[in-house]
Amino acid sequence: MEIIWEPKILLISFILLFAIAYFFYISGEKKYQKGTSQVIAYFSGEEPPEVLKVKNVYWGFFKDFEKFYKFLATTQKENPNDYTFNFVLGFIVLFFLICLI
Amino acid sequence: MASNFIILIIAFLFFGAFTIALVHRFGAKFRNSYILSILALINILAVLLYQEVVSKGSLIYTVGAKIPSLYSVQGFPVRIILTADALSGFLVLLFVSIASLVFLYSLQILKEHLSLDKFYILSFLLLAGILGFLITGDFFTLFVFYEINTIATAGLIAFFRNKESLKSSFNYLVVFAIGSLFLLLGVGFLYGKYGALNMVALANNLDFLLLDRIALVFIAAALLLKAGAFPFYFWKPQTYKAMPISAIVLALMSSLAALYVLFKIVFNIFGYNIVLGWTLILFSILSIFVGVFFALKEKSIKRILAYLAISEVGYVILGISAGMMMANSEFGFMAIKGGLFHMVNDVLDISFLFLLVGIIFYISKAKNIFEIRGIGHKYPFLSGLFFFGVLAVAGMPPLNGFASKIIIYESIFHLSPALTILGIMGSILTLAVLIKIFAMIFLGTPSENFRNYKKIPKLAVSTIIIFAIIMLLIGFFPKEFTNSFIDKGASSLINRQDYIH
Repeated sequence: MEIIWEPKILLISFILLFAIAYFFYISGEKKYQKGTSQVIAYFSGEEPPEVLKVKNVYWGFFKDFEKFYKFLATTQKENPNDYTFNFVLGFIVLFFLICLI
Repeated sequence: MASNFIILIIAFLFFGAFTIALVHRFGAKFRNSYILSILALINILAVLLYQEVVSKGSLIYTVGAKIPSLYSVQGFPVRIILTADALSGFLVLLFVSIASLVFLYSLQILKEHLSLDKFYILSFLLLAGILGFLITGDFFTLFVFYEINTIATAGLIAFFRNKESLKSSFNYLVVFAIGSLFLLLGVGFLYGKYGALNMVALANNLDFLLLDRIALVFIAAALLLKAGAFPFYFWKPQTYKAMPISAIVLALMSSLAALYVLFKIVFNIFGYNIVLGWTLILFSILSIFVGVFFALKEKSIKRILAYLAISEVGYVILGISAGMMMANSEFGFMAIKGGLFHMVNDVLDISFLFLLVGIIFYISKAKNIFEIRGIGHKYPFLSGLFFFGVLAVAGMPPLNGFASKIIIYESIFHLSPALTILGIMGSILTLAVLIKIFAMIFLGTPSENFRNYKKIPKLAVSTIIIFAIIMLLIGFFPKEFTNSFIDKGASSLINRQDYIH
């Protein structure tokens, strides 16, 4: 059994893919013009919002997991009482799993 | 002489730690030369120790005795016993090399700090605590090194002496005081039952009845706390945020050393156990997901990387504990090998990102991520390096993170395909986290403070370029790396009979 991955195969694949991409590139449209409407991103007909911020990139994900994140926030209050509580709780779980099962 | 290498490494670190304050009085240049000389000496000793354990097998050293034995001349069953095998010898060499690079980095990044001597004193003590973890052969010495490790780390957390760092240090001390108490209780249970603290003696006699399992839970809780894995991960983000970046790398090594000790105890002393194996697998999956879910929501870059460190520790535990479940098969060995390999990659990759972030904060004097947005426009080289680190941590080919993760994924598939799917999902979420912070720091609208930025610290950048070269070499030659360093370590970890004899 040999499951250690071989990076040389990846390098050869990259070279092959580059050759194919280059073939498409050289056989493509030669009348491309910079600075015209050709370079504007196509947003499925929708007008893009004026301010696009990176921090909003996973907005939908956070909206879906809103309750879960509220719960997570309660577990991470960062004071000595909560640290001790978390440690003892973790210990009880470990104790239950290893000693009582 | 050869067997003395093991104690000399620790002795020189302690000697260095206690004399730096004295040497500091002769000026910063002399102090720095002194620190570099000690580091060079420790590196040489670590290489010699590794050569010794690879060529002649495990090494045992009993402090104050000509011949290693379980009992002192007076018949007292407590001795300071140090042991090194292929795995601990390699980890000592790796951690000493990384710590040396980090100390070089700190000479430039922290040079303006007035308490630099205190930083080195505490860092040397912490490194001694970490290496002590790796080479301890008895439980009481383990407890002593746990304490040294904890006290030095608490000092480093409080290094900047502001409100945040003092609060974090206090919180850390409270929870680790409880952790070391639990470790001592676990050790006490074993000593009460068997009258021995030596790990080999205990491995020979242990029957794994209820009291032994209770002892294991106490010890495992303390070590998982140090490792910062689920459910004991809660201290990491606050602690890492308060620490100097260089000290965070030492804290990362400390976590991985604690994991090594946990698995050494589980494999060599308590033996394989299905319930423990599945418990650790459960914790590893939860570590991976809790880490990335928190990281996705975070805004502080140090906290984000701290959460990713929790997640990456999960992969190490996943590989090794899944290997424990398939201990008698070839896939089990591969999983353990993958876990140990990922331990190396984890410390390299996460350290690389932390050190790079340290350089960015150094040149920009920024306090948070928003002050440095768009820095990639001015420093494309740094953004290229960061992107390189992003790919390595997320486990993208052809970098080292991928090389170890693919071994873990393929081997644990034979235990349960669901584990592989969960592992890959964790990797995808890690990439999502890192792409977000990469875009926020490097691709955002450029800040207007660029004119006040300092020059790029060349020495510090050179150290992280060395990290990058090592990561690249491991990524391109994983087979050669694992054959040379990991295989022997994995064999020494799983062969309980070899350990006992």
